[in-house]
Amino acid sequence: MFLKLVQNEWMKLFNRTSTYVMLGLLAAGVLTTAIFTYYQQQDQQLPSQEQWQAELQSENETLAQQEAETNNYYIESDAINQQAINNYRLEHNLSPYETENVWTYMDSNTGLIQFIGMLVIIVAASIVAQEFKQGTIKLLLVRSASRTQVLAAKFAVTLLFGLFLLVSLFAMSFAVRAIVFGFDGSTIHITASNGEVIEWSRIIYLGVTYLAGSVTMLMLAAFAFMISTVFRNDSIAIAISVMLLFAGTMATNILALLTDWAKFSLFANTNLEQYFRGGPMVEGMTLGFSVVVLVVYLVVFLVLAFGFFNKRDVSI
Amino acid sequence: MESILSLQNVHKKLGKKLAVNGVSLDVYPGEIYGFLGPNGAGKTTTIRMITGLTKITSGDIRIADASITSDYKSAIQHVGTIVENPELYPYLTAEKNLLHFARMSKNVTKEDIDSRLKLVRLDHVRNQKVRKFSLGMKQRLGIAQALIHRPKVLILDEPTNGLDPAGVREMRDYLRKVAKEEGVAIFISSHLLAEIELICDRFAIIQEGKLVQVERVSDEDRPEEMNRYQLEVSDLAKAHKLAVREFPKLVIHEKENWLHIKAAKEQVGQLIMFLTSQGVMVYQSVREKQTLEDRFLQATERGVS
Ligand SMILES: Nc1ncnc2c1ncn2[C@@H]1O[C@H](COP(=O)(O)OP(=O)(O)OP(=O)(O)O)[C@@H](O)[C@H]1O
Ligand SMILES: [Mg+2]
Repeated sequence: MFLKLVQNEWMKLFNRTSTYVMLGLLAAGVLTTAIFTYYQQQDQQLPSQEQWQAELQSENETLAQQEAETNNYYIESDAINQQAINNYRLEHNLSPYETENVWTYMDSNTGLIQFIGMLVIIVAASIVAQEFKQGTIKLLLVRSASRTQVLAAKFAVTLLFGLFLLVSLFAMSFAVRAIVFGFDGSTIHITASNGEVIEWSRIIYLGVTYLAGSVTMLMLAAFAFMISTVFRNDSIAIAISVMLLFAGTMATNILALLTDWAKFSLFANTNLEQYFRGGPMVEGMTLGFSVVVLVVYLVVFLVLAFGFFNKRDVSI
Repeated sequence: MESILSLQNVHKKLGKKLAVNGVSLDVYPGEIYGFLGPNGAGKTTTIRMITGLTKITSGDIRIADASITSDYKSAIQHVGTIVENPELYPYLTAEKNLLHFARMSKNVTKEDIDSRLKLVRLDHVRNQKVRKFSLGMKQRLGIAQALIHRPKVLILDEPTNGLDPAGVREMRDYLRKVAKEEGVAIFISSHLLAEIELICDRFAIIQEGKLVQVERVSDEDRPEEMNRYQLEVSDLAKAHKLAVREFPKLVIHEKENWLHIKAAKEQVGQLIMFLTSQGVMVYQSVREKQTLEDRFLQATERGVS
């Protein structure tokens, strides 16, 4: 029964024009960044070895000064990590500059993950609210499927759709870029955390970026889903969630400057990448801590959504 | 015979008000049951409770002997319904809409979908999106959707809303066919009395949440039932005088050259025999057909006042 419900939701999603508009916009985004970077790199001159080494050394001096003067944890750890990366580059003669290739381009496309986040929020917000708006919820609920099953199928399809978009983005940008720019270029990526330098294989690093990006997506999808189920209105859910998507991290950054309690904020924990790059937002946070906080948020969102959906009368 | 749908002292509180107040009724297989009432009487609220969309405040509703509150799944599998408008997915085709609901029940095959589409005469537009359908077509698809899993009870809330006379007639014929051939019990709410009268076997009238009357549509055919008759006679004044003297218990009066009486079948026969024996010719005797509307107003005027 559950699989058939999932099948139904998928069928409904892919019979709607708006879904194809979303896919079209995503493809357009991929093409636009490709064209933009292509023209940008045409008159690009890579700095010589002396130039970039001098640049990194002077940057290190500024950072060392910052490290000494600031008493903000976040700025300090950022300065330490950046110096570590710069030193590593100087030692191993790895220029921070490179010509555009498939990897740098895929890096720049990670911005599109945020766009995907927005699309998933829209689907999460409308997949329940639309049924109420059209009145079809009545036909959906007067069948042998329980309300829990109906709602679970909708949430599953929202997540599947997010996954589908991520895979599409990955495949599209890889294909476009491999054709336009080729594969030449450094195959490693360097990050630092707590002053320790980590050297990544490029493809694994990209994978981690996509995965980390999808954590934010998952949490906001669950949030939008909960709001639209409780209020039975998709506009409210979309507005609040998209606002959080774009402003949430910034707001948490500001909060982190003021209080340590910021570490319990959703957005201090959604960016799991921070444990591999730059270190956490607030001192003392660990990967395990973040995972626990995220799971708690997710459970709260889902309990609210399912609780309201199961209990309330349908009177439209 | 066991009733297939049974409401037992059902109450529903909405806000501070009792929207449904102690409704009890039974519907039997193959029967078409009318549920009449003016706007705001509580028809839709009752139907929402029968279909499990809203919770019952007190009382119980049983479908095929399973309680809708404690045994929802086994109760609801016997129910097909349209609550208010035929709400379907406008962006799906007719066939995909049916496929959608078919997937939600056990043992519905591709052939069932085909045969239902044919029965409601929509197989020629099966691949058209519902967005382009007329209201009549949507209603028919709504019925097909409600019957796709061969339910034992069909619950319809104002199914003829917005249909033209031809559409209403078609719907009526189709419902009668389903009730007769498949033994489906049909519970149908309406405030359009004329329609109910033509297809229902029995009906109940609800007002301000209370049942005020339950009757057979054809009750007036029973010999002991009091009905209004009009007699055309050769000498009205003489007939009136004779009738009042011989049958002092009956209500008799003159109106527009006819003698009006309220009596049972047998009594009318006796009156005619008496009048002719007294030399008054009786040209014709007509039974005034009391419409459902009369009964509806009769039953509800107590509440209106
Ligand atoms: N959500 C609600 N909260 C409070 N009262 C409500 C609510 N919904 C309906 N009512 C009231 O309950 C009563 C019954 O409404 P219901 O919709 O069942 O009537 P109805 O018989 O279907 O009328 P109609 O012929 O207009 O469809 C009405 O008086 C209405 O005002
Ligand atoms: Mg109604």
